[in-house]
Amino acid sequence: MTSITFAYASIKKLNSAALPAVNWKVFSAASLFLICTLLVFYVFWVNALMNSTYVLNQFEKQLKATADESRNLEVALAETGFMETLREKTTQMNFEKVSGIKYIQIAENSVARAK
Amino acid sequence: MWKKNWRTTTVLAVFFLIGAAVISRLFYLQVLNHKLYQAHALGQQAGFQEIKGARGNIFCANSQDSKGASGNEEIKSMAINRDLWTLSASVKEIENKELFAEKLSSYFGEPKDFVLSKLENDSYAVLKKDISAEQLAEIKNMKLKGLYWQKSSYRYYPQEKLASQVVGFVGGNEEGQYGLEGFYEEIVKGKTGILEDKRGITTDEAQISLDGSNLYLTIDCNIQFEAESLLKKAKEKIDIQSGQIIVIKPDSGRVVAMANYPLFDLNQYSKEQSMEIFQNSAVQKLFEPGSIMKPFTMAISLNEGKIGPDDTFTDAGFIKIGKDVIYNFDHQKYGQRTMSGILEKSINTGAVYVSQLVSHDTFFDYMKKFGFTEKTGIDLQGEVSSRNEELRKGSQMQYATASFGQGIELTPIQIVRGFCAIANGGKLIKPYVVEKITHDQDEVPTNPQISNPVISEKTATEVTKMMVNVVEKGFGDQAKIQGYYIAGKTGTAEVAIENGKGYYSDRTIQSFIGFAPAYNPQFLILVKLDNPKVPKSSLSAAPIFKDLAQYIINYWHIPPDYETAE
Repeated sequence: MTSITFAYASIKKLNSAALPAVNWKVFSAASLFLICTLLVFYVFWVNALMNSTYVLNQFEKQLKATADESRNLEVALAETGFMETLREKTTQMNFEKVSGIKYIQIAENSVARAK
Repeated sequence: MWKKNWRTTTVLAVFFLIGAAVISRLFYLQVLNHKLYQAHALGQQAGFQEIKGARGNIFCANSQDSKGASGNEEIKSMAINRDLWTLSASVKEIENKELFAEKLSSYFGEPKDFVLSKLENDSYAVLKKDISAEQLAEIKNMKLKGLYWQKSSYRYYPQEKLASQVVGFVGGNEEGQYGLEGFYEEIVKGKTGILEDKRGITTDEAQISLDGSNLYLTIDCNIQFEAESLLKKAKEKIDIQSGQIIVIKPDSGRVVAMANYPLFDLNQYSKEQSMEIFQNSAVQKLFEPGSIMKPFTMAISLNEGKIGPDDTFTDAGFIKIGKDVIYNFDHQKYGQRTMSGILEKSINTGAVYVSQLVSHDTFFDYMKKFGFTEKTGIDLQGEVSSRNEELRKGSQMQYATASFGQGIELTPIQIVRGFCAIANGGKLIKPYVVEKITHDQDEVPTNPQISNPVISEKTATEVTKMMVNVVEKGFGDQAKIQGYYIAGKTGTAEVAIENGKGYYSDRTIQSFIGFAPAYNPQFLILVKLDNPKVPKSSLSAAPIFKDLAQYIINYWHIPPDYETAE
């Protein structure tokens, strides 16, 4: 009798300590809501990422075009420094070669001195 | 309870089973086989291509502000890379061949039939090479279907002939040849790498630069141009066969100019008939220097204490060495002269006398100390030197002639290096042409290499005084510049017959070497002219030295040593 009572009491305790009752409707609704929210978030995130990537790619194209133009300008600049051309231009502009330079010695007791 | 809700339970169980199946499949794909599918994705999303970095550029700088001690920001490009395009046609895609050929032929000024003939086959035709970017932009505007273009990069030398032998060029196999392009090939050339070309949503990650390093030269373009112009004038006036001018800072070894004549256009190197023109005679050709060696003979005996500057020598016009006789230039006889007088009048017998005061071993040791038996180590491809084996053998006559620069072979750069020791108080420098090497933000400067003294400062000063007298009172008077003390020496050397004995009777090498201001030298110049049509160097090389020295004095604003009467 005691053992049956004890066993019954234990079973009753176990039953009372069993998992709480789950409201499956609420759980399903919450899961569905979470999935939809994540989906929307995913779409926005991917869209933002693709926009950034597109902008970056555009910048990179512009950078490449600018680098190409820079190389062409470098060549053009190098050509303008061609010594023979410079000499011809100085001759055309009636520049004369410096034949001599006069030097002035600044006295020790000068009043003012240019910096 | 279960029996009441068995439908709900069943549906939930089914969903649970499906979910479990999906999760386990995902686990299998993304965890267990993660690497396999990552590799697949990479293969689909990324392309790999081999690329090569651009070749480094070569620049020369303006050294006016620093008086040749360093370059400033005003640089000129000596060697750069240029993009050119090749036009080609995919013949099948051309809608109207006649119109296509007409537009292109009118643009390039070529006959229409010529363009049409290239379109005869059905596949692919190369139409024109070496199109510039501007031309390509105009051609693109024509919007011709079937027209394609490919870019290629090639080496371009904007200064054309300037310092052509010093710079060198990139040959057909895209390797540097001669000069700096050859010497610095491993540093200047671009590296080869693999470019990962990702598709899809991605951005470029930082890449390691594969480009080669850039070289900044010690050469001053303006002085180089002036030196080359003077050699060109020498060809017109005195019909030189060839010539070299070297300008160097004697305290550091910084080469400010290295001019050769004749020159060649680096962009047209393939059109040259002889490869000899590619050689830089300043470092690659040996010659017997003649009387410009005499200051070294004097320095040796002075340094050994065998002579003093006030000692005298009596010249009989000739000196006997065994059975042989050595005469002075033009068989002149000068009587009693001081040691300075021997240099002033370039007396051969005096040089022999001075050289005989030291032993052969001592004389040859000094030849080695001055660097005359080894290369200077200058950073240019193809430098040569002579071991001077004949002199090593040590005959009396050999040493006698070596005292005035015959029977000994040197390159111009070796002589310049030796004279730098006289100019800077006795130290041997290592000449160099590259001031710094840059790569991205990194910069590696060249540190001048200066040895321990080979002669004492006192000896160097004494020889300098004698060389000043050469210009003030001796054969070097054509090099004199009012207001400045110039130390110099003339030399008119005979030319040895190749593969034979003796010397040509109708050929000479005429030189002048000097530095200024003599007692605080800012520059040292060697002018060497091969076979000019005048009898001696005081009429050929000395005036060229004067012109160039005056140019540098004005360019670097070097104040005078003394006041002159107006």
